[in-house]
Amino acid sequence: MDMEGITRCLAEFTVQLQYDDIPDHVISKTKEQLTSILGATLAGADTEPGRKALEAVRAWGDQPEAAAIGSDYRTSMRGAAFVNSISAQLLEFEDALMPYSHIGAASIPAALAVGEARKRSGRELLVALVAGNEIGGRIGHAIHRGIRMGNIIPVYQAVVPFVTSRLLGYDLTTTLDAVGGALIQIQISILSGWVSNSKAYLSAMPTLVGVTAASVAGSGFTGFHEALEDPLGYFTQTCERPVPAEAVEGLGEIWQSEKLVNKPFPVCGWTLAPVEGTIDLVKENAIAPADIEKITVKVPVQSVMGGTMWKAKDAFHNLEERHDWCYIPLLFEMTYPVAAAAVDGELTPRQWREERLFDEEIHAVMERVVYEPDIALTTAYVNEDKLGAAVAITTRDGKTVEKHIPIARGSTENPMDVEGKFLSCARGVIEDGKAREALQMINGLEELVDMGELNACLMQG
Amino acid sequence: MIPPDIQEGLTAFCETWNMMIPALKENYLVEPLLNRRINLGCEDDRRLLTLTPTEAVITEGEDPFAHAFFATDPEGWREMLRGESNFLTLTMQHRMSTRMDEALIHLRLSIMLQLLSLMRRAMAAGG
Repeated sequence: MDMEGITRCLAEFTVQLQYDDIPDHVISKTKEQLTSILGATLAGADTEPGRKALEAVRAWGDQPEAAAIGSDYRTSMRGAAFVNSISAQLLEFEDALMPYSHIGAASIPAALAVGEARKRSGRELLVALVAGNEIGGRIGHAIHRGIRMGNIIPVYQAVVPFVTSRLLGYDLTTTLDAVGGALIQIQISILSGWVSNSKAYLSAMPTLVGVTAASVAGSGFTGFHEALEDPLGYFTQTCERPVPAEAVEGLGEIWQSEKLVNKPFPVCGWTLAPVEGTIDLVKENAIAPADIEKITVKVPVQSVMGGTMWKAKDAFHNLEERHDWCYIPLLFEMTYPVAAAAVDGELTPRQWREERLFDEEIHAVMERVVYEPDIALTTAYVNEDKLGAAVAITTRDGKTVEKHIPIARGSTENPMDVEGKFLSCARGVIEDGKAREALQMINGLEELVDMGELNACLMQG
Repeated sequence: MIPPDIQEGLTAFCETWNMMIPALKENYLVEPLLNRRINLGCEDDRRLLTLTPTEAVITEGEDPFAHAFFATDPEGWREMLRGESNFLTLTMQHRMSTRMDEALIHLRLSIMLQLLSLMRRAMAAGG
C-alpha cells in the first residue's frame, strides 16, 4: 500500500483550500455544526464539572487572548481552546461525522480561540472548520477497523493542528511542523475512565496539545513531517488495521462534511432516535408517566452493543458510592435517557442534573424500558449509516402506540432546529440578546471581520 | 464442565455463524476473526473455537498455538450469549482481562457473540 505523503497531502489541502472552492451546502452544514456545538459548549459550561473547569483555568491567570465561553473572563489562546473543548464534550451533545468521526468538540474550540487571538474573519473560520471536517472524516475512516470504536477513535488530535495552522496563517512547512509536533506522542483514551468528569479530556487534551504544538511551530520549532503515515506513526499507533489511503481519498472532490449529524439531545448517538420517538409519543398521546406499562424500543443490533457497555444499575450504585463516578456513563446507557424523556417530555441538560437523575418516577419507568434488536433497522444502519429506532409505548389500559423514526433528527434527511438548540442552551448562561446576536453573526459569518465579536457574544456580562 | 446452557449458546453461535458468514465475512467486525483458533475458558473448562470464512467449529480441549485465550465467568458467558454484554462491559467490570496482542480478537469475538445472539432474537421475532 502506498502510504507516502499523506501528511503532506492533508497539509497542502489545508493551506490551499479557499472559501470559493467549498460548495454552498457544505458551508451551510458547517454553520449548523458551529451553532450546534456552541449550544453544547454553553450547556456544558453550565454543568457542575464545567464550572469547576472554568474556575480552574481562570486561576491559571493566563494572558487574556480568547473567551472562555459561558464565563466572564478571557484566557490564553490554548487555555480557551482547552476549557471550551471540555464544555463542548461534557454532555455528549456534539456532532458526529457519520459514521466514524467526532470533530467539532475539538476543532471549534480550537478555531474560535485561535481566531479571536489572531483577529481572524468569519470567512477564515469557516474555511478552517471545513478543512478540519474533511480531514477528520477521512482519518476516522482510515482508523476505524481497530479496537477503538465511536468517540474513542482518536481523531481529535489529528484534526486540531491542521485547523489551528490554517487560522495561524501557516505555510506548508510550518503546518507540517505543527502536525508533527502535535502527534509526537499519541493520545489514547481509557474507556473505563469515561465514568468520570475526565471523559471531557477526550477532546480537550488533544485540543490543548494541538493548539500548543501549532503555536510553538510558528517559532520555527520543527515537527516530524511524516507523522501520520510513518510505519511507526499515528495510523499504526492508533489502529490495529489502518487503511491510510482512506485519509486522502476524494479530498477536495467528495465532501465528507455532507455527513455531519448534529445532536438534538445530550446523549450517545445510538439513543437519539429512541429518545425522539419516546418524546413524540408521550406528547402526541398525552401519556402520563404513571400510565406507562412498558416501553419497547427496537434498534439496530449495534445500538445494543454500545448501550450495554455500562448498566444503569451499576452506574446509579457507583454514582452514590464512588467519588470518581458521575452521570457520564448514563449518556451511553439506554434505559435512563428514554425513561427521563418519557417522564419529562424532554431530554435536555436538566435531565443530567442530580435532581432528575435520582427521580423516583423516572426510575420506575426505567424498569419498564425494553430494547429489542431489529433486522430492518440494522440493515439500514449498515448499508446507509441510518441511526433509526421504532418505539412502542403500552399503557396500563392495554393500548399501544407506536412511532417509527427511520433516521434520527439532526441528520440531513431529518434536520433539527440547531438555532433552537443554541438558544435553549444559552438561556440562563448568557443574555438572550447576546445569544440572538451570536446567531445573526453565524448566519452572516462571511461578513464578520473579527471573530472576537462572535466570541464576545458568548460571554457573560 | 461448561454448563449445558452455555454449551447450547455456543452451539447456537456456531449455527448462526455458519448461516450468516457468507454475508458477513467482508465486514470489518468479522474479518480479524477469520482463520483464527481461539481457546475459550469458562472456569477450569476449555474449548477450542476455530473460525473460518465458511464455518465455526467448537472442539474439546485447547490448542497451545491458538491465536488468543478468551475467558470470563459463567455469568459473563451467559450475558454475551444472551446479547446483554460484550468485552467492553465485562472488562470494565473486571470480569475479563486482555492484552494488547489479543485485544482485537477479544473485542471482535465478544461483539459477534453478542450481535449474532441479537440477530437470532430479532429473526425469531420476525423482524
